[in-house]
Amino acid sequence: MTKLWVIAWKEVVTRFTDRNLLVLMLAAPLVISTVIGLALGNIGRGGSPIRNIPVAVVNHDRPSQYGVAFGAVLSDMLTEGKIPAGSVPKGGNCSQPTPDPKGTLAGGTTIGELINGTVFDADAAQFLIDAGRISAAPAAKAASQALDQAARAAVDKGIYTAVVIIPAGFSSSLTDLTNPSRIPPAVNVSVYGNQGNGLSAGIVRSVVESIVSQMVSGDIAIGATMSQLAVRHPDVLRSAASQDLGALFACAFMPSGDMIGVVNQPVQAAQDSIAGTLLVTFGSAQAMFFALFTGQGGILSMYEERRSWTLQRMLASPTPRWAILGGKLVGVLASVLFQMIALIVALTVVGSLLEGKLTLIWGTDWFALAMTVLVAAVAVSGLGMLLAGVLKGIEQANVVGSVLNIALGVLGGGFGFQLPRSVSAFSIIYWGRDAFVQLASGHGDVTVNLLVMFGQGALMFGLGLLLFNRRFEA
Amino acid sequence: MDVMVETRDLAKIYPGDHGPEIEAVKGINLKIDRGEIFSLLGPNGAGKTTTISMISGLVEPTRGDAFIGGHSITTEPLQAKRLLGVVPQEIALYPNLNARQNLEFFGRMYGLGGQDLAHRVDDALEFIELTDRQTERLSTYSGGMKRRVNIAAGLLHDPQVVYMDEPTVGIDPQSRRRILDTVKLLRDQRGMTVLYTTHLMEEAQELSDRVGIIDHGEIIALGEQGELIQRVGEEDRLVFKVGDLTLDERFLDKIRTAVEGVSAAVFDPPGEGGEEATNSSGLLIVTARRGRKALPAILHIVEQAGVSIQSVEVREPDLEAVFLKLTGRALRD
Repeated sequence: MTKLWVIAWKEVVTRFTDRNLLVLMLAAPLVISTVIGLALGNIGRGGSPIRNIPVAVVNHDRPSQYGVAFGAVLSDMLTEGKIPAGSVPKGGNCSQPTPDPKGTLAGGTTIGELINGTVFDADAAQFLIDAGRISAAPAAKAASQALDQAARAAVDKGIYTAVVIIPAGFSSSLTDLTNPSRIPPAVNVSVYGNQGNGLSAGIVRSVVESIVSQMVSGDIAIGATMSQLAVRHPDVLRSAASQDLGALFACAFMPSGDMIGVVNQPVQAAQDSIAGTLLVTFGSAQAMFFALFTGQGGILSMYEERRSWTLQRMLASPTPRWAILGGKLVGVLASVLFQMIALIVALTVVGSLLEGKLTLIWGTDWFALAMTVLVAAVAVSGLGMLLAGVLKGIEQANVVGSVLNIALGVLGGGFGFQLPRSVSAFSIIYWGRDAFVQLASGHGDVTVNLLVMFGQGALMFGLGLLLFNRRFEA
Repeated sequence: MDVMVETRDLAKIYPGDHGPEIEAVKGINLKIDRGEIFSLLGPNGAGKTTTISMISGLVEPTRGDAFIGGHSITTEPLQAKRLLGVVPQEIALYPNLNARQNLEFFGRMYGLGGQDLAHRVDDALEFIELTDRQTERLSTYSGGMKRRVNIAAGLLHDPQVVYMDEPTVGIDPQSRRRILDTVKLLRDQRGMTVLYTTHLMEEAQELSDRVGIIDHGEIIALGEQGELIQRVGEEDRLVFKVGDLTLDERFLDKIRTAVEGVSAAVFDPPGEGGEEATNSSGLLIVTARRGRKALPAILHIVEQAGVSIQSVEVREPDLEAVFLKLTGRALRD
């Protein structure tokens, strides 16, 4: 067993001391991800190529008892790109931002430019059904579930990149001023994204999160104010009870600007999330893409070792064959793991440098992140093993392997554009990238991704090992 | 004398790709004693590499067995391999690692570790005079330095038998001399048994206690050098340097049949980097009884064929002549 670890360690050391391999394993994916991240991460400063993300907005919300309709505000911001005139509650005097005299606002990207929102109601659903573009059940006006289902079907068909579903009672849950000491209930605005377009869906999710976050912050602030009044100035609170409190405090809930990244902190946070999403999306795809080369190269180096006679030298020593093969495989797996961990750390550093503060762009679910890295490493090593088993000789393997990797990279969104999920799901890179993006967004259940990658990897590994072992024995 | 290496009816048959089976080695019986330098000579494709690969445990015999220090390579492979050191013709080392890391890795493959391994590596580096460059990557070494590390990696575990496959290929004369002296030291000071293969006849002559000549998968001659040379009798070798010409088989046949006393005539073409042929000159090598007497008749045939001779040399019988007589080919063919 000791010799297995000695061989595995040798494998890792020889990989990580080869300058050419280091360029391929670490520098190339890091540089490419950073360049793409910087290029696309310019959102908020103008020049972003990501514009007009088609989004459906399903709004089940109704105005609260104080007349504030936050669902409509959120819907209008996504569909109109700003707080529309008249959406400020009666009696409220919420000031709108004034343009930066230096032109900062003029050069920014507005929500309206970024998101092309459409109100998705029963009529819109029926129109798509009649046109044969979706096959969901007819959306009865009273059946909110059917409407949600139709909207999701439209997303699955690629008509929209995402659907934002605002639940009934959204406003009420935010503006219950009768009990100021209560803890605000969870606000369940859901964003359903097209899995083949994780980047844009992630951006929508970040924007919605930031707006809702501001609304929740306002709710907490109001609650704290009312609590203080109840303790220190109950007379003021009593006299205020006859007033329209909703109108009085409504401005505190309002996302006061329509510009991303400039005016207020929560919307700035959306930009941070977008930059992180970009780095995670392209970084994870690049990490997966280059890990394919590492996995294949590592296993195919068995041929190289045969040519240079280091393999025969090991075989001529009192070392069992299983230890040699096992050591090689463990070494390759460890190399891929180290490569992916190094890239994750490096991209976190890049993301933090860009943001000027420590930013955990990969999310904080460490266990799921570790499992994703491990399973991704198994999957790419499995593909390498299969190639080593099927193909004859290193020259053939290098050519076929490179072509296959590039094809998987294209399918899986490794080169800055994304294909429909029905196509991209054939690529290991897609499943890995999607898992990382989901973890980064903090919303993801990556169980399916892990199962798919592990299943693919284990199957290819087993089959490849069987075929390769026959050749190895020969 | 203890027998350190023994083969019994050792044979290997490969399945043909689209035709009949290929019998690469046809049941070889061989015994090599402790402390003996044994050279195995044979032209390419003769079965030399397959035989050695079976003895080293790299290739499984189809029939028969090989024994290292009494341990069967087929039934007790790990015990047999512990006694065997292998020095391949290729630089079987990792270029990204330094000399010390390479030696430590292969030492561990033989079960060495800890202080014992560290001391052995120190000794080996001193032995090959590379202590001061042990931390430099192997890729920065000269060909001769790499060869020395390659040899040290095969000797680190102090084997009782060491197999060396053309260890002097592609290095300068000074490094070559050092390696040949090392081989003799291994026998004389450490009592090692050395199984040596080479295509350089003078190396075999200088080093070998005994020589085996293999051709078409069979040992066709086995014995001490003197015994083998006696088999050739009084035959001389006539070596004609013929420039960049190509001599065909019909021409060689004419020499074989028309000149009295000629037993073999071969052409060693130019540009193949052999022992004597150069990039620009090929060699016509003729084995003949009373070579000086046969010389005029050969020259006459050569002149008639329009072949220009650059030089002629008459050589006394040696291993090369033995090889030529037994195989009908030059050693490097």
